[in-house]
Amino acid sequence: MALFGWFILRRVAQERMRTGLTVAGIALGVAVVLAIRLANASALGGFAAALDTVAGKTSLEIIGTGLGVDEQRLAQLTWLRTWGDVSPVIEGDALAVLSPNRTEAVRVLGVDILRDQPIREYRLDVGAGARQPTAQAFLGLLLDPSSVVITEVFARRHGLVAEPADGSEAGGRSTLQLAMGDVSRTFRIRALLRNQGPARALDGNFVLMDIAAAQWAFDRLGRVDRVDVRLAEPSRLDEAEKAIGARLPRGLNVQRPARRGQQVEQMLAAFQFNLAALSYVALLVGLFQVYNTVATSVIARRDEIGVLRALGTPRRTVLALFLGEAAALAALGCLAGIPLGWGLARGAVAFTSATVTTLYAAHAAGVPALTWIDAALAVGLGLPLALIAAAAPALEAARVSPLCAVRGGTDDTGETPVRKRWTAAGVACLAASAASAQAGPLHGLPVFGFLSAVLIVFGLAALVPAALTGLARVTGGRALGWLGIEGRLAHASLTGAIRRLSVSVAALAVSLAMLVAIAVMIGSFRETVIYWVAQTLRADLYVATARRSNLDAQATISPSLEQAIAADADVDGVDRFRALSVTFRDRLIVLGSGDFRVLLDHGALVFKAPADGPGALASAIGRDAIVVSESLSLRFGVRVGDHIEVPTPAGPRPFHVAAVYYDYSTDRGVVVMDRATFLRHFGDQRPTSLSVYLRSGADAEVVRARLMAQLAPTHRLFIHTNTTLRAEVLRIFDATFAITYGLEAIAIVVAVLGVTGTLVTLILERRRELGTLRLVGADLGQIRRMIVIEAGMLGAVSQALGMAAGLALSVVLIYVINVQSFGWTIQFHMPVGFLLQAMAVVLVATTLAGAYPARLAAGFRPADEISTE
Amino acid sequence: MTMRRALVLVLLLAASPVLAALASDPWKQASRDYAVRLPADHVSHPAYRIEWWYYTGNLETDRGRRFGYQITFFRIGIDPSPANPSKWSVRDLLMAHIAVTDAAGGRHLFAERVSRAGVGWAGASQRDLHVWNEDWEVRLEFGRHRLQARDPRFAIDLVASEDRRPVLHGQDGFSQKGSSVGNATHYYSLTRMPTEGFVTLDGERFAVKGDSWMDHEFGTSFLESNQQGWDWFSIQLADGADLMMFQLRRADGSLDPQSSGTLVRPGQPNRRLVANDFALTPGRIWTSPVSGARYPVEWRVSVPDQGLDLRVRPVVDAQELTGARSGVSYWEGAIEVEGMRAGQPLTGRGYLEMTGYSGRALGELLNPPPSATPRKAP
Amino acid sequence: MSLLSVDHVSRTYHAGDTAVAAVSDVSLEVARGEFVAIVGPSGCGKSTLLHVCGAMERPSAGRIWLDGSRLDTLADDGLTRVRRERLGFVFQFFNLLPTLSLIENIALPLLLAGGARATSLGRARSWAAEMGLAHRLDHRPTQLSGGEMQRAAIARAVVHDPALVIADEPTGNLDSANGARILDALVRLNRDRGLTLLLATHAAEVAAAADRVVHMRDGRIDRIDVRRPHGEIT
Repeated sequence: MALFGWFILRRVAQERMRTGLTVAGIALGVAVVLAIRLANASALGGFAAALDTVAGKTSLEIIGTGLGVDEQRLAQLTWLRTWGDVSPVIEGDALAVLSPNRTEAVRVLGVDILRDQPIREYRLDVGAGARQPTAQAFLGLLLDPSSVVITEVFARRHGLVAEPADGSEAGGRSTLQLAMGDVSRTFRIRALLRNQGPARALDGNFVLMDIAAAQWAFDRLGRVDRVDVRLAEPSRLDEAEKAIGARLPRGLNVQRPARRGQQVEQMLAAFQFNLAALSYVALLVGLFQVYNTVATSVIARRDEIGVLRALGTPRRTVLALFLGEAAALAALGCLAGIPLGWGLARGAVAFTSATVTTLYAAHAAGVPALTWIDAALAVGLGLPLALIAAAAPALEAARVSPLCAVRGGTDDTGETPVRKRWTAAGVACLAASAASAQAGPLHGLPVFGFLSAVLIVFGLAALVPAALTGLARVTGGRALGWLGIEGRLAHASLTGAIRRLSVSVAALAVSLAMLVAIAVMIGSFRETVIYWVAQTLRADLYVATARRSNLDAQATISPSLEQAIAADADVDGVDRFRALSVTFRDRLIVLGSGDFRVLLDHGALVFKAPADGPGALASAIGRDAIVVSESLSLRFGVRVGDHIEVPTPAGPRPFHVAAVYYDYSTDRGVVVMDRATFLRHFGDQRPTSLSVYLRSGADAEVVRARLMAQLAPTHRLFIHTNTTLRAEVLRIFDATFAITYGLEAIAIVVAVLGVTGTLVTLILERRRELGTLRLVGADLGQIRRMIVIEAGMLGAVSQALGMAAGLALSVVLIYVINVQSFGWTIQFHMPVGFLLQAMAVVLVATTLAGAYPARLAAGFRPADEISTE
Repeated sequence: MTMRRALVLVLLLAASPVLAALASDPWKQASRDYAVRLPADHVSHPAYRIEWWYYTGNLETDRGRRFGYQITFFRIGIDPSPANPSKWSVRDLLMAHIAVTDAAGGRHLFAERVSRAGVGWAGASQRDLHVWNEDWEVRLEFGRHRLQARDPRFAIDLVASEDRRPVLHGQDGFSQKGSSVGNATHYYSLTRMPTEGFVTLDGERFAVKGDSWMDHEFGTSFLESNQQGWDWFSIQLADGADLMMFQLRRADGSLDPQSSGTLVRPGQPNRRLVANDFALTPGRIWTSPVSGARYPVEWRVSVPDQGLDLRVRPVVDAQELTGARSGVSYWEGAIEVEGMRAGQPLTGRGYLEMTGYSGRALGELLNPPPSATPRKAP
Repeated sequence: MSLLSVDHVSRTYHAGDTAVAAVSDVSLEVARGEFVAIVGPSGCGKSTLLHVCGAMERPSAGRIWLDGSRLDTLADDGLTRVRRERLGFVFQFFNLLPTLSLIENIALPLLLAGGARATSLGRARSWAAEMGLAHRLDHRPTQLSGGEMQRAAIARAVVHDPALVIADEPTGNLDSANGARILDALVRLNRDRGLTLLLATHAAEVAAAADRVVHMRDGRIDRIDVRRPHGEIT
């Protein structure tokens, strides 16, 4: 231990720069992994927590198809009572309008407050403070459809109070403006909910209403969203689920509340899996750093190791010493990484929650508290991986012969066979990668796709020494003449240190490869979406409610809004689109309806199959036929001509698949039927959005402005023109992928730090050479230039290798991982501009990364470095 | 305030004139001009605010194990024409209480439901005798009353027959409850219904026989603001006579002159009893560990001009119903009756109901002053 | 006029709180073409005197002229320029750059001074030939023997025609045969090419080859033996 103290720790403490860079590398890696984990947990945790608290003691729930449970069928379910307490529920999202410019999303639960208590716990505070509860307050809540109960937390946050029941002056605002769908109404706050039971959900953004009031407010007269059942004998859950399921009429199903959570989890799985996989790239790069540091430490200290060995230190002690160094560095890194990760998570949540809400209509909560489990995971991941990374150099240290002490250090012995082995391993990795790319998904996740990507990364890393050697040979002559003697010196010193540099170059190249791959993937995706949007968005105006969750079946357009729009003189036609979330083969998909005739007239779908898409669409009108999105087709293996069972309120019904069309709006899978067909099966439902076609010659901007001026005072709505909607689609697209770039940027920062660290090490080892250079006449400028050129060369080489591997990776991402995760066909497209920019940025960054080492090198005084006595 | 506490207030308030004043009284008042007719009046009368169907009875197995039971459906009108078109809008509150007294086990089990009609999970038919609260129900089946209710701990499944002619209390069923006009109900009883069926206790099913008593009462308002509660007796005597009487207690401890009763004797016209005709003298007090209410569970009942002098004992002391949801506390239990009629020993069985012994004075709750002094919740 | 003129030069190092005078009040003149050896026990200040004379560091006190220009007042840039243009160095441990070939090592002063690659390498090649290294031009230093490395170092020290070559124990790390060969090379350069040589050594046979031998002890000049009076001494 004493040996570890003076041999390792002292050095770790002395070389603050190198230690700092390594620790920073690990810390960032661990932090990113942790941040993404927390962010993912928050997306699901927010949902699950809300689900749990709102579900209360519900054991089972009865659900219908997309539209909830028809009341007429509910009347026949009195037998449910024999199993326990039964409570029908309206649950929806609303916007609390706190000021003209400030809204907050709230979850509204409408229950029969007379019968719901066994299922959920409530404690109401009526009136201001300690006022005596009065029957009038409770009756008001029960009878007045404009009554709501809000949580204490929400009330305190926004300075709201409950209305005093005796009609006296309220001590503050006791009304709340809530927008449901496009209609905004004023509600009276009848009571406050203490912070227990469902009130704890969603950070207090929870509103309780009586079921009658909620049904009316959400325009869901005639149906409830589900029926919660609390079994009298919870131990008989399995039996009850089976028996109830068997007795329910077709179209109604029984499930456990957790099932909704699982479905959302499944829905988000691919998205989150991809994020997590990316986050591990940063960790990987951090681990390269550990390898790098320990390897240089071993190389630089061969003499000392020789002395230790000569003095009788056993091999395993030497091994332990260097593994100890890795462990110490990793421990510091993890320690710093945990709080950093938590900080990053806040940023990541901001990024991902927008995506999760936009694309999946699910709710993300705040960053969950950092638990010991997370900390243990960070350490449990960081430490062992760091030890694995350090294993090879530590073993090499253990092999150092005692003779080294006597002979003096020899460098780079036996390089050639090692390099050949690495090269062979690299080629093998690439071959395996190609094979792995052919395999299908595992449990719906592109596991083999990612394996293929990882193999490309390892293959790249393994081939770096060979590539560097080859490159050094090719560029050795005149190729770098334009850089002068400094260039020659830089090239010479890098060539002499290929073995040491390989790791840094590999790390940077891997990061760059990921960046290139992701840039190509996203660029391709973006181009594809732009093309698709141009093909698909043909209407002049798009009307939606204020809640921007485009596929959320909950927010519907009110008849008054629809009529007002249809009545405008410039409006030629209105297509009403209705989307529902339905369960198809155990997954949540989107079921939509549109007017096929209108779609045909405007060519607003791009078909993948069959060849005559419009013909197929035309033939689907008036029959039980549907068109399905590509992602649905890929995920469930559905083909044109198949008959699939689509859930309807009357139970699953077979529908003919007429065509498969391209859709990039969601990866959940979409089934679309003609509006007439939809009406036949689902009855007349309020639309969730309107596509408005104008008379020729009408100016969309003008009509939009006129409609907004007319409707905005009474309705909460968005009207997009074709142009602004396209921009909005791309904005959402870019926001979705922003975090991807963020992760990559971090990986590159880590890698650039690695380059700096390597250069610093190289310089410390070359003190004497640098002194000699100074002595024979190199001025400070020349020394600095030389080091900066070295950094630039490393950057350029990594860039070239990263670009090559990145293109290979992008092929895997686009054609394997993306297809298996999301079921989207993406046209390959090189975002040349972005790549050039990125390359320039990285080249500048790595060159700048040479600035510190250059200053360090220039600080050496020739006399000090030459002195031999 | 908890929801259940609030509910007490709703129920009591609903029974008071306060709401009527608020809603400019859309409800129909009980009237002397209305003559109760049966079986037509078994059905629901939604024009009136308050209505209940009350079945109590004493039952025995072949081997003499003694049970009492109660099954009661209340309909309390809240808003006869809600603005909200939702089916879930509350027109009436529908409350039901069931209870079984197990003399051998010294137990009294009860359960309660409070519902709204909603999609018809609870209700009272206007076509025939059918009142229900989910899977608890009473309906006329082949001319007999079928009573069914179950709770996880106990169940009742009985058939009761209309053996005797219905008894219309007061004047043709018009029963005055308060001194003001309209504070009255339409009230009739089936005083002795031969009953058989099953009582289930903790999974054990007992075949039972015995006699039930059914009350059906509807009206809009019947309590004066100073009325504290009431004591109500239904007694089936071994000599074939049935006796119903109630007294209304005032907050100051005095008795309301509107206390009344009916004596039914086989082969003779029913005898209407007014306050001066009978005396109800409370005896031993039992204090409820749940509500803290002090109930006189033993009584002396005398109808001097009939030579009746009876002592009433409860089968079990603890027969209080403290509704978990409604929070309403009252004592309703099977009783044994022993005494004399004109010097001859006489026994009987019956049911006793005592209200207004717990919590705040009913009258105060029923008629809160507009700016009631805030009071600390207990 | 002397090529090198050292006038009451002192060099003090600070080690912690104590100041150690490595060189105290030394004055010395070296004539053009002269071969001066500095001898003395370890720690006597030989190397420090060479560093000061070699423009590697500035004296703490005193003045130094090289070929008529003051060195002690120059900033780092100036010192670098002096080293690059006027001085050559030979060290005990050769100090060749391991990553450069032999020919590149020799040409380094010319290349750093901005010389064209072709002409620089040409001159280096002829010097390498003169030092008997023609067959080793493209070898790396690690592939050479100690004698070869030191000859390459000498070639590097003279390739740019310096006014003065400073050598610190040039034979200290060589066996006697190679040491003799190096001494011979230096002496020939001094005699045949008029190279001015300031050399520190422990070896008596090396000192014996000098025109003058400066004996140092405790940072001061103890005495100066004149072996071969030089014509241009004034």
